[in-house]
Amino acid sequence: MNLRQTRRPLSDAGGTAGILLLFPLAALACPVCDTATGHAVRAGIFGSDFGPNLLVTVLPFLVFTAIAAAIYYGPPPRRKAPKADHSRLTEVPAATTQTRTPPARHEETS
Amino acid sequence: MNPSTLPTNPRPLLAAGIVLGIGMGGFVDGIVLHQILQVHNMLSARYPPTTLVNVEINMVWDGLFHAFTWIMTAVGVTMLWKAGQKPEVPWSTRMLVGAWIQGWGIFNLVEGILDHLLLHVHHVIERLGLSIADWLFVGIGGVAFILIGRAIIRSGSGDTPATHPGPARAQ
Repeated sequence: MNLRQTRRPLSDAGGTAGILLLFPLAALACPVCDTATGHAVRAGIFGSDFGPNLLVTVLPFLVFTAIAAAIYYGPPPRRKAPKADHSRLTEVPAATTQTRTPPARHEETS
Repeated sequence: MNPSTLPTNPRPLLAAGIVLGIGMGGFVDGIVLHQILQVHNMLSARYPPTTLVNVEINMVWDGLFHAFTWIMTAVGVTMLWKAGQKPEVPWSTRMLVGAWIQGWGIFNLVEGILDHLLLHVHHVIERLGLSIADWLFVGIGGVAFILIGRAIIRSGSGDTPATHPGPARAQ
């Protein structure tokens, strides 16, 4: 039997435990951890400031949503009027340059 | 219908680009300033990250902030997908990039004014408090980015569905 193969799992477990022992607080400070630090973290999150803290975190995103909606549903963008092409004026037939006479009015006869 | 005869409506593309820019700008803020450089956290002016408990509390609010930026990014991707299916939307790279930069600027401007200048929940460099860095964040990261984005959008304003055929026009 190879001794190295039987000893490796033990050394791995020891190494992991050693690393965890180096950082005991970090390993047990999560907000859902059932430790004194975990309780303190939970109390800090869900304390009396929870509502205001949630509001200030959400508030910019409410503004972003309003801006995006305004852009998406807003009026169409103004377009610049095309510049007049004066070179075409010379090509216009003479007949179209005549002034239009307004259509004759139907005068009511009583 | 011939694409050249369609009316052009860039709004869905611009809105998608802006929402994407807001979401990804939020990720830049969160990843670079909150996590890599750790110069501030979401509520670092209220809970100075000098104790493990306060670091953990800030981490939770940072996570919530990142969750919202993820939602904005997902919405932006969805809007971009839908914009690509509308034949009247110009498939313009310049408009998308410009809107993206503008969205990033909108994120910095709104977040900077609200969280840094008005509510003081955090500052760019927390140990300095309100400093020149916050004004630069709003001025350059906000206003300048919006103007740069606007200029790029304008450079692509002549793009039409016909000049940039996208997936919907390929058939």
